[in-house]
Amino acid sequence: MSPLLELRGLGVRYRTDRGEVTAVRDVDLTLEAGQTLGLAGESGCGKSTVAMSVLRLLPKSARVDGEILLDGEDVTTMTWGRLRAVRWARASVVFQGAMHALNPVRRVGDQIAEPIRLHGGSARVADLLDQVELPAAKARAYPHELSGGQKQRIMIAMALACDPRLVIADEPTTALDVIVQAQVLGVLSRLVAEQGIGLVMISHDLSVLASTCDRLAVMRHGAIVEQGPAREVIAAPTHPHTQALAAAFPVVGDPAFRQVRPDEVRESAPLLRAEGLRVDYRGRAGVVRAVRGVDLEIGTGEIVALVGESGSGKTTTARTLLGLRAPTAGRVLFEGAELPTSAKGLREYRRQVQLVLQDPTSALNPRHTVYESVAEGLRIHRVPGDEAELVADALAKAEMRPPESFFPVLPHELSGGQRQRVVIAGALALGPRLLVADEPVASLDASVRGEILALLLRLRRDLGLAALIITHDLGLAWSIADRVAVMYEGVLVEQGTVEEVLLTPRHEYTRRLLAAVPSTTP
Amino acid sequence: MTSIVWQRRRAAVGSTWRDFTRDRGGLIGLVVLGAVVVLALLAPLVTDPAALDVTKAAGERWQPPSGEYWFGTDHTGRSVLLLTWWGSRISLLVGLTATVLSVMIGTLVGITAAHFGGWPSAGLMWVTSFFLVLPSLVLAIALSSVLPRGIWTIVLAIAVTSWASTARLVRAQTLSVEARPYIERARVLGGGHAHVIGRHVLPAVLPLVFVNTTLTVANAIVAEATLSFLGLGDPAAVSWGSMLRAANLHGAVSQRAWWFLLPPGLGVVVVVLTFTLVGRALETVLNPRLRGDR
Amino acid sequence: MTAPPLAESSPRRGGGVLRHVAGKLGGALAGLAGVVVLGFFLFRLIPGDPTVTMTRGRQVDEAQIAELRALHGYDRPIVEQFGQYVGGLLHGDMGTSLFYRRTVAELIAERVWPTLLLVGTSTLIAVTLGLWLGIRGAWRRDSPFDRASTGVALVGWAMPAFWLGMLLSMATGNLFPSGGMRFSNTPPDFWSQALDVAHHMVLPCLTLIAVVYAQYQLVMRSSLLEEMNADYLTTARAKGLRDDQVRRRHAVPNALLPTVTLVFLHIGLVVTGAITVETVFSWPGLGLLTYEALAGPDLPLLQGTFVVLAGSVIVMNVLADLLYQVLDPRVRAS
Repeated sequence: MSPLLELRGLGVRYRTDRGEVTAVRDVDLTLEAGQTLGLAGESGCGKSTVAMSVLRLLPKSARVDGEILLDGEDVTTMTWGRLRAVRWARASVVFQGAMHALNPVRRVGDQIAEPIRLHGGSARVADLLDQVELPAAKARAYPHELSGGQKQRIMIAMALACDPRLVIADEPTTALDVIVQAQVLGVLSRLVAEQGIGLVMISHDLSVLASTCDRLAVMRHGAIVEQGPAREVIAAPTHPHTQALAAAFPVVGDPAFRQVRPDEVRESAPLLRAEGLRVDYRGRAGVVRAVRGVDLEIGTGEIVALVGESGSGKTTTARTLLGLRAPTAGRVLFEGAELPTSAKGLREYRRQVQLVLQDPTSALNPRHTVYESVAEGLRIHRVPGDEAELVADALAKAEMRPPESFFPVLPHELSGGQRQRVVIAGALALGPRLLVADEPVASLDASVRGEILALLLRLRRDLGLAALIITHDLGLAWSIADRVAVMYEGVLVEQGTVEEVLLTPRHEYTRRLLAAVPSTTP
Repeated sequence: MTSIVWQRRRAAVGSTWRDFTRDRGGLIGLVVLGAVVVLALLAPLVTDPAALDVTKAAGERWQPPSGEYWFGTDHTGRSVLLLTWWGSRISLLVGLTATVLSVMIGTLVGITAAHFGGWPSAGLMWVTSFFLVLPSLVLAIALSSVLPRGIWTIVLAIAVTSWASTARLVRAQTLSVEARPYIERARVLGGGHAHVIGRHVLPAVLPLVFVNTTLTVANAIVAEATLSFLGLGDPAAVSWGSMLRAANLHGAVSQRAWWFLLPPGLGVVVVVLTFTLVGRALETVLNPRLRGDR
Repeated sequence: MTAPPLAESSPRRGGGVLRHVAGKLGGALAGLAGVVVLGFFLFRLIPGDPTVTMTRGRQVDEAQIAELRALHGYDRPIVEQFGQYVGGLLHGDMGTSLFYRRTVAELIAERVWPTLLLVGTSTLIAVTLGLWLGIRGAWRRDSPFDRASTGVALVGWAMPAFWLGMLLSMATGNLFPSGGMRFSNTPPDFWSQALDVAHHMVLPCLTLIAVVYAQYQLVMRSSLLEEMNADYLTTARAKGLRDDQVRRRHAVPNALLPTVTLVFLHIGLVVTGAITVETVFSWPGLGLLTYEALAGPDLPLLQGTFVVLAGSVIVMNVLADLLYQVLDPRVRAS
């Protein structure tokens, strides 16, 4: 009997203005019924192209070589009619980013029922919704009325609508909070096991794959670099790229991933202090209480991680500490003095406290060269001295060497990690004492996350630079923070040293968070 | 350092130009437009405006095209070719100045409404959407009927009634630029309003304003022709609209004097079409959202 | 994970709709008030002494001007004039036409139906034609059909309506009547009359359609092009839908939404086109009335047609907003 899915020498090339670009080369994969296969890799490694090629969903500019055998039948040579009959009935897809993969102006129930009607069969939407643990009434909802987790469940229900034997899940939990991610992964794994479906799961996150897959294949630059049973690949990776990927997802509690040496943690004078901070803002649905009484302190040269899910108020807290938003109540003290409210006073404050944003691609003006971006702060503050020298100095501190060679470069010519270094250099140029970093590595590829975190640690060691790191990732907090504060619905539910909070959590919410973190050690 | 920056800018302009030339319609439009503008500028050097005077009309009335009068003559015996040639000057002059004025108002209102919040911005928004909904030409007719006749009245009437779409576009673009994280970064670096607008918003908005300008000129030229056709133009100046008004009033249709109808109308169509083609080509080059790669 | 979340969201949605509708109606009232104020500002304040503007280029003596002033109340204080003007409008009184020596309200009531007939018919045909061409063009982008139809649309859009009207009138010769709405000798029964009006309407209608359909086509085309790369279309294809099903069920409904508002936003342009087309074909509507009023200029009459034309465009836009509200579930919720 032939396997459920077999890829033989799959290659995909795109025709572009600048000639042909090879996206996937020589990929061999096999999946038996009832098995789960993980496909790991960084953005642009070709893993999504592999997924789309299985149902021939690639854009017209793509050329496919090799064979894609679905139950022994080659997809690449099917007629359009046969292909349409195979789509969704034999194999279906859970797309990444469910927000855009659902039609915004049609009820989700109709969208689930659509393939059933198309391929013949009775619409059993309520039944499907029940399987993904949603109430039947949700069928009448529109996508925008659902939360991210609910939409992803709808996508799963839709994928199961025609009882396919193969499901391809492309980054099914990206952009979901940890606890919701654990729930969605749970639903997916249960259904696959119950119904004996073959699952191909695609993700950049090794820990997600480790907790759900039997076998694992790691891709890089369009080719598979390592393949084998999931446990073996993660426990003893042989390819350096797999090793880098595995290292990028720190295991909370594992001393090997803790990069802060115990002797570095020391008692220090308070630098920035928030007392009884409250922030309300007026939304469409009335007043939103984003921050409801936060007391937080960051010492000189200390790295504090502020951990929470999206909507917990952690970003609003950071914006208030930066003076970008006025607190409704409470106060912020920098070196014992309350934040100034005048434009001039705030400008002076800005030289002391700087921000590093999540996505370096959008944090840099695409029209400005590296030089202009780094010099921007110097020009605003009319910092005396030779501008070119100061810029070169800041770039060197951010480990962009030799700095002069980066001067005329535009952001789109840099890699993600380099862009984040430029953002950091722009902040360093002003000689700040505290960096507020909002998810500084969340949008970076796994292999460069470690470098940026190491840079933050080195800056602390060399320049005594303190940092407040806003993150949803407990592993990141474990690897570089001195202290952790956990935020939930606008309140700090727990704070203390990293070891206290993450190893012996006292609050119920912290325990739930820790339990939901997917782990590479099964 | 500035030399590197300028080198970059020149390269950017060069690549925009190369992308533009790839659009055949846009390129043809630009060439034809250039020719029309040159002809309009040359008119006083090549021809004698005295022949435009009704009292000095040399030809027979309603004479079809001939060797002497290539485009025939009008109801007073003047050369239609000469009238059309000189008419292009008024049409282009009014179209361009009204557009520049209108785009300036629109850009100012758009950026102000988007950048500064609060009730002044809300007020500007209300005025903008009010003018956007109002049939602009009806308002322009009303305005030019109560002001003294003349081409500057028409310029003013077109400008103050057509800025709203520019304002809406600029506002939307400003809002989308200001939502980008690099604006927040600039604020954290200590940048004030002037810095954010001057260094980030304006450079990002101007290409779109430029595109919008070419498309607005097309509207302004049709508006000028319409107002002149309705008799609201400068009675002393010859424009394409006033020629068509004369054609309509003096029965060119019943006379079957196609030679008097075609040239001024085709003039409007050609100029409007070239501006539109150039604008659309620029739009695909400068507005990345419209570039469909796949 | 049971019913409560939904129960909690539904009432908020209901309240939101009411508030939204109330807001739109409030905005419309403010818009109408704006038109009324603008009407006063344009025709009473800008001219300084309106009687001088009205009698421009004519032989009149002081006594006649004073009489005119008194007749229209131009000699009273501005505030009182404004009060009278607004009070009159509320009672449907828009003053008396100088030229016709009849009330403006009467004249407008008489002329509004021909315009409605002309503008309504041409808009309906132009929208249908434009949307159909736009959808076909976008779906097969850069095909010969797309290129040709876009080109024709652009040329149509570049033409002044009145010029095209004169050309058509000349080209068709005596095939269609070149002016008016009906012949005086047509039998009075309904069918003969309707046929006569339709016969008269062919040319003005064609002209108006040719000039305005292009904008609907271009907007629809670009709106659909923007949806073409949307992820939910890939989902639809993956489900096994045929190409035309993907287009009809998923792409077009999404692309149609922004187009609907633009269709109504552009009603003002159709009205503008109607003014010149009615002038060329002597179609006895509001446009021709406006043109006739320009000759004086008959300021009270101009003011009346301005307020009515601008006011009706604002009302149309409110209708469009409310329609959009019904069509787009996303707006319904927020």
